[in-house]
Amino acid sequence: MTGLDRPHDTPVDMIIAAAGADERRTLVELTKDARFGVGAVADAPAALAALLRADPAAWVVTGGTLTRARPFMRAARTAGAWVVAVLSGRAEAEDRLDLGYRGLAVLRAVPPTERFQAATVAVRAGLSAWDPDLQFPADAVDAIETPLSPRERRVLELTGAGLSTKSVARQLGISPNTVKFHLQAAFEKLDVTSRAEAVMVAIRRGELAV
Amino acid sequence: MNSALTEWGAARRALAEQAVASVVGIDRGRGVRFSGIVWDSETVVTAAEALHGADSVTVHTAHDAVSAEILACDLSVDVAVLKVETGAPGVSAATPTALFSGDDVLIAGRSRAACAVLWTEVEEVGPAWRSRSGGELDRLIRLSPGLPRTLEGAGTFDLEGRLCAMAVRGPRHHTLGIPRETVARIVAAVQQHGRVPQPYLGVRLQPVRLDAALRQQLSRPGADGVIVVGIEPDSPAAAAALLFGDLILSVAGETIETAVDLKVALTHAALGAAVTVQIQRAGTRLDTTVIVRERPRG
Repeated sequence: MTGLDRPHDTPVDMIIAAAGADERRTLVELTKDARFGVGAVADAPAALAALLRADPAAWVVTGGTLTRARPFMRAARTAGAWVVAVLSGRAEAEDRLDLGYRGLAVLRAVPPTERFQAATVAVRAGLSAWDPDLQFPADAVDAIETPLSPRERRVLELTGAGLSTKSVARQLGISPNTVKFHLQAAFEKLDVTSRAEAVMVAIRRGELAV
Repeated sequence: MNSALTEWGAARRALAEQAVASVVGIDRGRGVRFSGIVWDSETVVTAAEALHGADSVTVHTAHDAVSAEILACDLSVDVAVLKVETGAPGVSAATPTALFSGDDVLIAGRSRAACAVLWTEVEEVGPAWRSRSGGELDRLIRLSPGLPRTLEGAGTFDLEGRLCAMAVRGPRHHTLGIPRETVARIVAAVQQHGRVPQPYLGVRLQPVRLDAALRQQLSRPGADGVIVVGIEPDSPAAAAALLFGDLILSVAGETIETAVDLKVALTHAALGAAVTVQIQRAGTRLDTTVIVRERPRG
């Protein structure tokens, strides 16, 4: 049974859990257009149960040891809600997997909006969504991942299509040196040393279209 | 005097002299030099990555230096095609002998006009493989590690002096041979289209892990999948009304588990062809038809 198959009168179908207040603020920002309820919840499963009976389709919760607690997961399961966790690093992820979380996203300085939304969509459809950071090699994971800027993305896209630095510069109306600068910045963000690798890592991260 | 040794040396010398006739030195400026192979009267091939985005380079033969325009770069197989009339003989059209691990091969290139030759061994030969960047190589050819920078893009010749592969520097000091057939395929595409066409759907993807129940429902053995997290405006995906959150199951019958799988499946489809993209949307399996187009270059 997938999330979407569940009856419409189920008040809450997803819980997005964040460990602390800062994460919660970011999540509130990310989800403000959707029908999300927001609340800081105490450790007590009773408080969670009350929250799950409320109206909005999903809840963003934070609070103390809550996100680590087994009673929390039991209460969520009883209510039939999936849990998406937003984490600040890989180490936390292992615990969450054991507890039965269905979606995991890594929170960075700049919120990974698309990934986060994709994770919620996937979890609602009954899938599990792991942030790519959580499944690629450990050394790449601990690095803080920064999304490419629109310019870096564009430069990389044209480079991947086989255009020379000068052609990319002409297309974008910038100087060849600026193209090189953007490309170098993209290499650093993607932690790669070659053009072919840069294009592939960007595709894997959902930054470039296939 | 040991005549067997001198004969052996002379045979090696003859082979090297023959090989270097069909290779060039490539100068990208600022002292960056590597090699290339004279493919035919107006085409030279080299390693795409070594060009570093240059759009013209200087090509050196034994006696001459001419400017060459870069026609196309295929980063996924590391092949670049240059338009230049060198006057040097193109590589022999004869099919090379089938390589075997342990075979001696000659890597020939130039540092500007000077000949650069390296006798080395084939470490590993294998069937067709896919590079990490989704390039399809007709055979795996791995040569002894540690190719000097000047020999990047150089010709790799068998003991009959026939071209087997182009030598390139792989990750972790590996030396890879880009098979002659792969190079030929890229050159043919460039001669036909003026570039290497890149088929494109226009979706941005994120990996997802499929749980056991869903795998069973979808009859898929693998746990990896990709969902759509972005659709480029005016793209084939937009025209086919693919949606954010669609799980892409297959393209033209090829199972899709990763973004690279999708890239490869698209290269198997002709541009302008209608391909069936099977997706899982909100718990339902759907077939959509997408017209594959070339990735926009501007």
